[in-house]
Amino acid sequence: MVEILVCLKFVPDTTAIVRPRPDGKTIETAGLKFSISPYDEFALEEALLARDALRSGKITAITVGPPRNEEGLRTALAMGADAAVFVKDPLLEQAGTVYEADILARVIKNLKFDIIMMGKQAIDDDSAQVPHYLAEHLNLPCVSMVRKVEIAPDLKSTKVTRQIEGGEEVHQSTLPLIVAVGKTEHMPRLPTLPNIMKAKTKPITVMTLQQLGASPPPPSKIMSLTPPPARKNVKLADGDTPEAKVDNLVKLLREEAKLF
Amino acid sequence: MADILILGETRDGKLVKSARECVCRAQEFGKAYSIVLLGSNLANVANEASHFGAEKVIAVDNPSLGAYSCEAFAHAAATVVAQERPKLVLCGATALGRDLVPRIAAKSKGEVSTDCTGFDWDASGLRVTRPVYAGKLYALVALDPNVLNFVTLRPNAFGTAQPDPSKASPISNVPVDIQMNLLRCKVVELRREHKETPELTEAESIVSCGRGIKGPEHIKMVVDLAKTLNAAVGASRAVVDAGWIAQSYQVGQTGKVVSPKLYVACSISGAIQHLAGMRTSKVIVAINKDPAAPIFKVADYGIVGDIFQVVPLLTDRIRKLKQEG
Repeated sequence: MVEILVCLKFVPDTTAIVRPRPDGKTIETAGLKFSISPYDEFALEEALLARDALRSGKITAITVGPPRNEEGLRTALAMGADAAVFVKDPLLEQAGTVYEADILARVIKNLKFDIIMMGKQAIDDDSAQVPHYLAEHLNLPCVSMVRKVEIAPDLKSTKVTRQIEGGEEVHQSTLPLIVAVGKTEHMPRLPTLPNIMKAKTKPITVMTLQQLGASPPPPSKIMSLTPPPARKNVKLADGDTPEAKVDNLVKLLREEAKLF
Repeated sequence: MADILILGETRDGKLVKSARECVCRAQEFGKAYSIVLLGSNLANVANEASHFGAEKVIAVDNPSLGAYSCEAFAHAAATVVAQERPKLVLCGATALGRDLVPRIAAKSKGEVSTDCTGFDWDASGLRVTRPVYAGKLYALVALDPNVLNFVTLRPNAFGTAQPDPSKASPISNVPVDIQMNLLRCKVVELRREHKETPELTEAESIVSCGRGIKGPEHIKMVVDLAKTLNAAVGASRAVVDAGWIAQSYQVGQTGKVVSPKLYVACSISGAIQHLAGMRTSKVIVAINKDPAAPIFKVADYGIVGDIFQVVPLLTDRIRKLKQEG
């Protein structure tokens, strides 16, 4: 029976407008919708498909974060995860990557697993490091930007396909392995109503930083969060005909933008 | 010992462009830098790297590094880092940089700043600017002077160093013991896509299309414009999810992040997830029927019109210009 751990982070929804607080260093979370980070959601879907392909198995979702994450964990359970571990503390709101990897390692050292899956990066800090630091803590190989995972039925090895510039690399690895997925071929499923009901009784093990012997996260090194530099107003190439518009556009691109 | 160690990524026996971008930024800081090369049969690329004004070129030339393995490469790089004791390690935020650098940093007890679009080193220390929340905000981060910092630079966001044949850095071959039988994970197959156009993340120009392209049979129109501009082809998520083009062409939050000199968005509405992937492009041109499309909020130039009329005309016009020289 395959044991899969899926690490999830809950981040402002992709469609949300994100604004800095008056301190200029953190974001305003009031009224913000949080969702599973998209790549973590792809990872969960791959885990569910792998469990199906291997006919049996257990998927444990793990998250490290503030109390509101419980709602998202229920979504992961409704998608099909069997159990969840929740390291819960309001102080974890601003945990950095090195710290998060350390906490995850403390949790995972006590768990049985064949493979760990997660997104290649969370779309809040976009730092793309947790899988690699975790791999070093656990002394495991790690492959990132993965598009496809094939676990051998004997649970001894796996083949993963990774996207690189102008192609793909196929990696062959022993298990356990940490797989950090990018966008895969499978769209994450939506929880069905019966599964949402079932998820309410699935176990969530709550852990505190104290139980893990961990200190609170160090302060963030962010000095400021600002909107992206403003772009100039668009200059529309006018004309009565498409030909005239194209001529004007090319003129602007050559003379003003100094292109071709 | 040089302050900066640049991880010089190579492909097909040459330094990749992002490695030259790292060199350029190091030169602008006026600090001494060394370039480390990892691979097998590195003589030619070591010679190429020696013309970039580095204090030295360090080659870890080992048959075990012929194919990529994060374990082997991270071990080799961490060994060099421990010997050289730089203050800063620089690499491009490429597929290799994103896979390898955090692992080396974890081994070296260092910290990483990923995919930086701004990077300064002055009396107040090291500071980077990074897009966060998928580019909705930019974070200015002061790096800890008490740890070894690793910085990866977004490709195309910085200048590119040019080789100077009159310069020749000494090349030092550093032996690193790699026990192949201990490697648990390695590349067993490399699949190259045969595209008619350049790689998205490296291209100086990109022509991208959205749902308004209406079907896979019309992609050729975009490819034709791209070829005329020597540009890569990109697509929005809608086009990829519809199965009209492979996922490797997707630009945006769940696709590739690009920063070309010219980005031509054909019938792309400009959803926030798409903007996340191309907002740092230098010049953005939008062609869209809908004058209220959000893409016009980030575009520098635009045409309100039908791509099926405008794009072929634009291709034709540019082709003629190029022929005239």
